[in-house]
Amino acid sequence: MLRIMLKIKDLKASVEGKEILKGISLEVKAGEVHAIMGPNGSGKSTLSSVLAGREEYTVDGGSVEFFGKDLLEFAPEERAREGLFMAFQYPVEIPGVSTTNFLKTAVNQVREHRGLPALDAVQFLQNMKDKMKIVDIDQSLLKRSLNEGFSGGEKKRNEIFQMAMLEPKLSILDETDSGLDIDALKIVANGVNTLKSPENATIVITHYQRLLDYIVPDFVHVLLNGKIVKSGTKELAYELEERGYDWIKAEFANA
Amino acid sequence: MTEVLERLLQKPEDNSFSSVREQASLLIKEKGLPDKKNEEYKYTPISRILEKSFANYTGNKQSQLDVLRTKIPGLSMAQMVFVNGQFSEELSHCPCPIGMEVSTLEDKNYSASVEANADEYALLNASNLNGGTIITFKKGAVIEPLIAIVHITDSSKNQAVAYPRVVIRAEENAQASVVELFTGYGDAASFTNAVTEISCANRSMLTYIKIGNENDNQLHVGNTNVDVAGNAVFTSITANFGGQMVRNNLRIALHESYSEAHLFGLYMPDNKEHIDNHTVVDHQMPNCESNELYKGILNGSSTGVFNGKIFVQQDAQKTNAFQSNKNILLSDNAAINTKPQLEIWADDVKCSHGCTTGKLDNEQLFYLKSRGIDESSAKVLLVTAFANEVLEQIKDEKVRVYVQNLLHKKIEG
Ligand SMILES: Nc1ncnc2c1ncn2[C@@H]1O[C@H](COP(=O)(O)OP(=O)(O)OP(=O)(O)O)[C@@H](O)[C@H]1O
Ligand SMILES: [Mg+2]
Repeated sequence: MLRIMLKIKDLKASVEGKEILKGISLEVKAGEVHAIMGPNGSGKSTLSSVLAGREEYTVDGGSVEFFGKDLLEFAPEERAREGLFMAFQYPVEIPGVSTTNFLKTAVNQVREHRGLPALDAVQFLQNMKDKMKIVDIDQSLLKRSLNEGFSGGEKKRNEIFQMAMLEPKLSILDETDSGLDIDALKIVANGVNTLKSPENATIVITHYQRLLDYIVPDFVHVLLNGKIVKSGTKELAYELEERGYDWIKAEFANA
Repeated sequence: MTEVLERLLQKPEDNSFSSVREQASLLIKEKGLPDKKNEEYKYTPISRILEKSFANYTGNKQSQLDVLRTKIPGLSMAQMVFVNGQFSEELSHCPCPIGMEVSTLEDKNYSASVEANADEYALLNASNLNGGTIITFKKGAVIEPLIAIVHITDSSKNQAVAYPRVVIRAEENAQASVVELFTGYGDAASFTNAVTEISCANRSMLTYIKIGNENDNQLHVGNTNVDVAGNAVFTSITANFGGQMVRNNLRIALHESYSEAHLFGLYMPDNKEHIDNHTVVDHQMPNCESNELYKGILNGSSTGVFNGKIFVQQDAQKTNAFQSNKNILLSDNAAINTKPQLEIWADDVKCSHGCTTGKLDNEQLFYLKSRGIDESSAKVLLVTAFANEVLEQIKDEKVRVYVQNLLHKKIEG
């Protein structure tokens, strides 16, 4: 039987007094890939931010269990150590801090939490080299200030590289495909697929069906105005690609 | 004259400095120590704290520091050590590379300049002049190893006051680097009143690093006066990691053409500490350049002052002068008072200045935390990144690592 990894129940959240998530329920089991689609502003990034623990968002109701534990009780860094990873839609620039620089601290703090011995400089470097291949990223990029002057594609690749380094259980990829050319898209998707196992799960947030040709979802959910209004299989993504969201909006308005 | 000033004016034996002392103490008695009405010390009321902490001061007790205690952890290099301003033969291990000469002030017939308009604390230092050290980098000498001077103010037995005086001379074409480290030992109140005089002759290149790592029972006023001659390049890096109240007066005169001064600063007070940097760059002649970058990281309810004066005299055409002061406040209770002052009397010059004060970026903090990094390590990463612009100016790796560790310790609290 597949293990339930993430269990979101009637999650409500707001930012600056504005209600954004209006009761979301979702279950993700190990080995699954879920896609979340939905028009701009429907709350997709808010959902991933709330899961990752961004402090600006207030949880107004509902619950989130991650491997049976109350995820919302955890600080952001604890969530990451427990195995949650979010690839940011808009990764922030950090002048003076390189990927190599902070990942060493990150990897070792995560390993410590998981009861693994710290990697020394040589092991860390070897690990980096292995993971760099997965997303075909250049070492020089990892030595530069994080995201400063990175192209859109480089930023996204770097996010997936970090995911590879941190070996999460559940990854949430927030529009990791936007801004990627077709070759980069294939590389990123291939990276995600390489890291996929029966032990971990992925939530991909995307506007485009084309990503789902490479990362094939088991379920597709439509998020509309802070609620999941429709769930289906990958065929739903094709339908959305063809027909847009109006028919769902109409359906939902009538319901 | 206030009582505390009377107490601070020590009466050493008659020696070759008697007349200088006499002259200086006449002046300081007349001027008094700067109180809060004094514009220059408005935010840094050292004299008020002196009055409180040294009301019963009767002179230093003999220091009994031993070698083990004075070992500066992490700074494993040959050092000249001064305890309460006196050179300590037994604690020091001075290398004297070829091309460098170390002598006492007496040996060199040194005469301190005593001017009525000098800083009050510089006058107080001169009033107590009782020896000191001259380091000379000989003509054309290129000195590889960094020269380290450590000042320890020992207040383990009693309140202590130190009046160190170091003179550094780079002769023509000489190249060298000196670090002066100020620290303390003991819990009683202490006051370090230091003077460092530096001169850079034609085409010399001198780097001077001042590190202050003092305790919250320590007061510090340092007067560093620098004369830079033609085509010489002077670089100063001032890094302060604490002290009850610290005031650095750095004055640089570019008094011949084509000279350069680079000034970097880093200050990190926390709790109730106060660190004040007053800098003056005086462009006197044409075609000189100065570049100044001071960065502050303030925590707790600490305060900082940055006051940067740039003078461009009438003759100093084709001057390039830049100044920047950037601050991060790690706490809502910390505050910085920053004031650039440009006085430009020449017309063909390029000058600019700017200052910023902000907090750590929450988005950046969240990003790092979302990768599994705890809050304190995330702050260390961001603060180090901020400080690096200054830290990377320290070319000597041992000193750089030493300073980095002071910084890490300070953030981790
Ligand atoms: N920090 C914030 N302050 C104010 N409003 C916010 C904030 N974050 C999100 N919102 C608002 O919440 C709503 C949902 O935003 P969210 O970013 O979750 O949408 P999204 O589904 O990810 O959209 P997109 O497809 O454009 O990425 C939007 O109306 C947005 O303006
Ligand atoms: Mg979004």
